[in-house]
Amino acid sequence: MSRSSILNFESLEGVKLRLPATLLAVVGVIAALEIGLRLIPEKSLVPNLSRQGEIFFMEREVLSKFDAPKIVLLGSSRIRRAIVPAQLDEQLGLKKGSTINLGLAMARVYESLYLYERNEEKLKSAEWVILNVDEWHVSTGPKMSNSLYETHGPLLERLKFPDRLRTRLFLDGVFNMRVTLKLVPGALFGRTKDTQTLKLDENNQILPPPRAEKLETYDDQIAMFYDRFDVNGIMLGHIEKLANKVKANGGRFVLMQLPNRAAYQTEVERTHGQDFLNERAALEALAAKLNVPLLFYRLPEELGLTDANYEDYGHLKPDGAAIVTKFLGEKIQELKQKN
Amino acid sequence: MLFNSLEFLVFFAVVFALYCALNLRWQNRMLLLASYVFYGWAEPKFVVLMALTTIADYFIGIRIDDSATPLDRKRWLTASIVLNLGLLGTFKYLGFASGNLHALCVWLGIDANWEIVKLAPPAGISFYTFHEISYVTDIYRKHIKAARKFEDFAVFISFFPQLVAGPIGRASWQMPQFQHPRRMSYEGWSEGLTLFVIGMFRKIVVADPLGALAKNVFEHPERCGRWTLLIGLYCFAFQIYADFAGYSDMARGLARFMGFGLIQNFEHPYFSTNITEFWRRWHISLSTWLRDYLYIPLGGNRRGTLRTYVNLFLTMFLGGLWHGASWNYAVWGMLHGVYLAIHKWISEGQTRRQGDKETRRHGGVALNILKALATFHLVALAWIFFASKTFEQSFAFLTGLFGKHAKLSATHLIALNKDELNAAAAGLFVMLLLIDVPQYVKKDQYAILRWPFAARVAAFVLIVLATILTRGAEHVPFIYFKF
Repeated sequence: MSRSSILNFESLEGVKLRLPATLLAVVGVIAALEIGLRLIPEKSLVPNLSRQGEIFFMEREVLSKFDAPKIVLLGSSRIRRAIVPAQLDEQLGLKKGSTINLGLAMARVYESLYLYERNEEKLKSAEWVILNVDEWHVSTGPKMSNSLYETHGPLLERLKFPDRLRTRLFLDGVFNMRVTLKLVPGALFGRTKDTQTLKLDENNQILPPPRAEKLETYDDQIAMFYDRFDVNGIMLGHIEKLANKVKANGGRFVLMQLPNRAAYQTEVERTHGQDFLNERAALEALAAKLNVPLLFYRLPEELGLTDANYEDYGHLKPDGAAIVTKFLGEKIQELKQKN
Repeated sequence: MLFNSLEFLVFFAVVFALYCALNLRWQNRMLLLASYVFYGWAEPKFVVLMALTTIADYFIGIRIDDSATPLDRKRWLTASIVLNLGLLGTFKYLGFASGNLHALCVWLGIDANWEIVKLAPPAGISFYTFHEISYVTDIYRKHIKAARKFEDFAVFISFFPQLVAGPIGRASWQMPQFQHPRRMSYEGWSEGLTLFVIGMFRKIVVADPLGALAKNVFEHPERCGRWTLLIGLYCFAFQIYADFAGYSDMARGLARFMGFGLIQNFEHPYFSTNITEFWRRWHISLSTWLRDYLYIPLGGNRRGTLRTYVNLFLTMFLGGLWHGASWNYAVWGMLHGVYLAIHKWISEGQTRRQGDKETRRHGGVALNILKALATFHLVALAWIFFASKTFEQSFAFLTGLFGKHAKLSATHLIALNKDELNAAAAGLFVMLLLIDVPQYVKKDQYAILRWPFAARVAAFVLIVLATILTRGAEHVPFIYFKF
């Protein structure tokens, strides 16, 4: 190629390439550390109270005690606290142990999807899979820290996140050690002292010890869930993927959104009314697209609840859980009759 | 587009690949296009403004160069300065000026029933405006000839590594780099990568964690104890250094990769033993710009002692305002003006009494460390005004630090998170130990590259690993991006 050409690599003339020994050594050491950490079995690297640890706990303490569940409940701690499996079994005339509540504390839909995929062999027997979606599940606004997605989410999907999260999530995917190294101390100490004290009770439910009612304002809670709220396609995509898996396994998928305490909901609608409407519209559109039922409740009174049935902004006390479980049982019977 | 983002990595990989393949003329054209894409990534509309001022200054530069008479040259220079400062003033200071006028009218009891105009300033306007003023002034002073090829000039103004936060380019030194072929070299890549990695470490491992701590303190100084305020102040002092020096290192590293040289913006300013030395080491591209294009035209030190002090004060006052339209920045600048004037007065007195050599002989290591500590604390004191959003916050900070402290209940008191503080302190320690001290002692910014292989690898592993592992929940923009 002549020197007058546009492409002539003129600037590179005289460059004497050498082996970048330092660079290679540094990359080698870091790659070895990353690969080494990935080779260590996950169970020995994560503490019980991590997202991954929570899933292992569910598998160990809950799933192992059920053979072929007919109703699977997925979602966050809100559904964990809201539905009493044994009560639902009795109401629907099923034998005890037919309903399994796999609500994961602070979980996003991705965690539920991951749990379902890992245990698909056992869970594909389910006739009903009910996913309770919290409002913040559709948004990338709430912090994505300490989520299972950081280590397990698909690498290329991370590129579709908003600017502020894209690079960080991509780095987490390439360098899992960013997350796992932070979990190791907890895993080491947690092995001698089991931090997960929760147990499956006689109603096949996992309940934390009762807490004193919090009477402060909901500002911090709302800020946590509604900060930079968006309705994000990636988050909705996880719901869609779960629904399609359930349907492919011959089950019926139901989308649900349980109401929060009325006082909290009023404050949400005062401060983030449009966000709430957008989230509702997105779930309605998704349910229509997937052709699945959507049980969406804005206020406690729609289910016969009052604010006194709540322990905090949205977690129910046992008396509230009994009401919601009864309500859900009736809804399932209604849906059965429709078909 | 931030240097520490994934999109920038892709952007630079594409630009660099094209750069390697193209000849000089097309390199400049490609760099110009890339710089405009970089600049317009977040806010495309401001590209038009930069393009218009570039076109105007390109033609004005030629007119100055071609003018036959000094008067004509001066007229065109004035036109350029009015244009550039006019735009800067409109976007950056109109709201500030109208707000102050409004407050004055209210204070005087004059009816002031008008809307306070506030425009969003385009990113980097303070920097590219100074590039352009430097260019036309250097032509006026006959230090350089006007660029005849538009793309050579336009790419000097918009060169993406230095566009948003400097270092402020000097036409006399940088223009020739765009007009002549650049040669890349293995050493250049090695040094460029080193600077970039060091800059990234400064930003992510040191500046961002320190910034999170400082933010807590500066937002609510009235809720902090004396020690918390002091730690918060130290955090900010090192945050702004690591943030800005980190950005400058990254910018220089990227330029070095492509065979360009940019001015070294920081030379370990916190090791300075007096305030004058501090300003020779801090934001060097700005301090030298202010010296050459403001202090010297004001008369510098050629018009008597008192006028020298006034000039120093005025220069630093305007330098403070350059950072932003706020009285807090102005006070920060004025404080430095006072510091510099007092130091000049003291050092001139010493020189008269003892002579230069005698003064130097007194500077032992222990004394120099004490002087450096004193200088650092003077600088830190001024940072209180820089870091606070309002005067109320600044005074609450000063009252808490020096005055009688209000007794607060434990629930109201802000306590810094010890884990975060320890992590940030560890990052700062590593930065000083592996980067700043070796560079300062050896007077070599690439000191780390001269270490034995094993030490070099260990140091880089630590630096890179810390950068990878330091958890950035989200991107934290560079502080100087807002200026």
